Amino acid sequence: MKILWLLIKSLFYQANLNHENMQGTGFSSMVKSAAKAKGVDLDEDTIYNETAYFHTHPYLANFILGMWVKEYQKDGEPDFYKKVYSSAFGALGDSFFWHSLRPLCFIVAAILGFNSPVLGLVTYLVLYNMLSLAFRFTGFSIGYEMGRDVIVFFNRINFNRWSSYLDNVSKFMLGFLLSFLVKESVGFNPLILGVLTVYLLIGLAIGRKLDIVFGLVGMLFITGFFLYFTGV
Amino acid sequence: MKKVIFRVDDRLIHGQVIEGWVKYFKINNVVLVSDRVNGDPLQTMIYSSSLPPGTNLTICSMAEFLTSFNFKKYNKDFVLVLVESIDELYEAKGLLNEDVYINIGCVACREHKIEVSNTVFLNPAEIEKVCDIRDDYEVFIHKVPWETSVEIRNFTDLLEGNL
Amino acid sequence: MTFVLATLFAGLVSVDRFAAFNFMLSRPIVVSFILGLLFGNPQECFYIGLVFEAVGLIDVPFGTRIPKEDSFGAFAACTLFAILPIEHADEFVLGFLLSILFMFPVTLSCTIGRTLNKKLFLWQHKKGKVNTELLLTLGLFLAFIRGVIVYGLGTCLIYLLYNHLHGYLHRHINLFLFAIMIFTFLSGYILRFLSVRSFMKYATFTAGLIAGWALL
Repeated sequence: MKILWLLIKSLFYQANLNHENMQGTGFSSMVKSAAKAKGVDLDEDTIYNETAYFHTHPYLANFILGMWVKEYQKDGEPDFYKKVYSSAFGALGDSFFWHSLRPLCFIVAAILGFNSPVLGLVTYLVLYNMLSLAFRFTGFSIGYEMGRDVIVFFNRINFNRWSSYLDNVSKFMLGFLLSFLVKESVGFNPLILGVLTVYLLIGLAIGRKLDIVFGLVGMLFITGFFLYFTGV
Repeated sequence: MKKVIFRVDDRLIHGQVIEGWVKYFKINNVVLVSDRVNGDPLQTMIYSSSLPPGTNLTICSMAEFLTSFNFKKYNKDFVLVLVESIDELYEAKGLLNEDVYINIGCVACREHKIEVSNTVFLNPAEIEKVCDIRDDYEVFIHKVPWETSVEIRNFTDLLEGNL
Repeated sequence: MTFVLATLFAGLVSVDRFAAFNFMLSRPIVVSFILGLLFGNPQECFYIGLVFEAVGLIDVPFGTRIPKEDSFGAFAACTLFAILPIEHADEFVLGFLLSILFMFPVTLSCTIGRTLNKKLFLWQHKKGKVNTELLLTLGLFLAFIRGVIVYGLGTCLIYLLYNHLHGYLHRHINLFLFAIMIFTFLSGYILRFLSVRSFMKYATFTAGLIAGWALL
């Protein structure tokens, strides 16, 4: 029961996110509950010290929490490894969840949600949260079991490769989505297909050179004029 | 972007470094200069595992770095050199030149530090060192490449924390 | 009632994005699906969601950076397109532009939110004892209120500005085509963002294009 409460609490631990200590407040709050769940008594000073700067990927924070309690119990170096893992898990989590999983879930949901918004919505939320919640809910026990060697778990599942696998799938699915949207909404119209190809090439050409918002604003005007004058 | 990037980041390899720099510029070589990490197999494993596959990570101590770093080895590829603190960047000052992009990324808040930007907090001694480097080379505060970088020019303002 | 629900949803979106959960309820495509169901125009909202999602996909919250408020963009645009009879080229452009423009001050409100959190933390820190539960509860409350007020106010301002500015050109165009053209352009950005070796990148994408056309 205490573990379940801890897991629920971990959903809220970013609520005081700020540039001074980032997620430190939340981590301190979780440490208190995690230690209690494992029958460890923490003094006020230790809990206070845990409000120091801490920032990692939110879905992987529970691994660090488990590792911290284990290291604390065996008089290891919990705070030292907390710092090391916060950076490494930040890198791993950002790469996989933010960089790769989000685009893939979006593309799949867009394909399925085109005709049925409910299906699209459910697909996005289930597909994404299945993975993120799995990591969140197993993180504490794996972190606690493996202690400071918790990275071995990520190596065992080749986690740093997952991002490239998903990116490959996303590329394919993005092409699929574009074709699907055009075929469903416009059909075979050589003029439109030509224009869309030019649009894609422009996007590719300026993708890393111009901020997306400025690019978007420019294209809104161009598209507005194009559709207005061609009357397509 | 210059091919050799020196970045001060007290979190060493984290999300911003991977997503903002390594993936963005397709950097294949990362050099992590840290006496703390060098020689510690667990930390070496942790940092190596957080890089995307195909990226070469070299971990070395500051002494090794100063004697063995060779720019020519990376003349075609990008190389990202990560150090933990301004003090370490200052130590490596002899290796800096016009072809190096000097970037302060993330130096977290500690007591008695001045907020230079929302991710860079420095004490007066560190600011003096940055200013000293700035006398010879351009120094930027730059979180990620697609955000505007801030070139450190005005020393008085910097010392007052009003960048 | 619909607008009350939408406003409460805005609070939830802000919490999900800013303070808790991270269930992705705040993704523009999810916001658009939900508002589409709420307002009864799922098809229009879907196309709006596509555009704002593409913006948000490559503007990621790595480390300490605050990404642009794509959730608000989708929220405001979907609401605007639900309550106004927008069917002309200039109206589309104006509607999208205002939503994009207002993303900036709304993003600023995230920065202000973080600053408030910082002040609250420092206030506790000075006392030498940090009541973490109190700070987290206040953070949640602030995030919810931010969503309700800033999203609501932002959308109202866009509505007023739109009514004030919108022109008198009357040529009916196709929102779906308009959105697809914009999304195709943004797909170039997404392709650049996804990191795979160049040859593989374009080969896989082209295979997807062919498969999408041939199979569906």
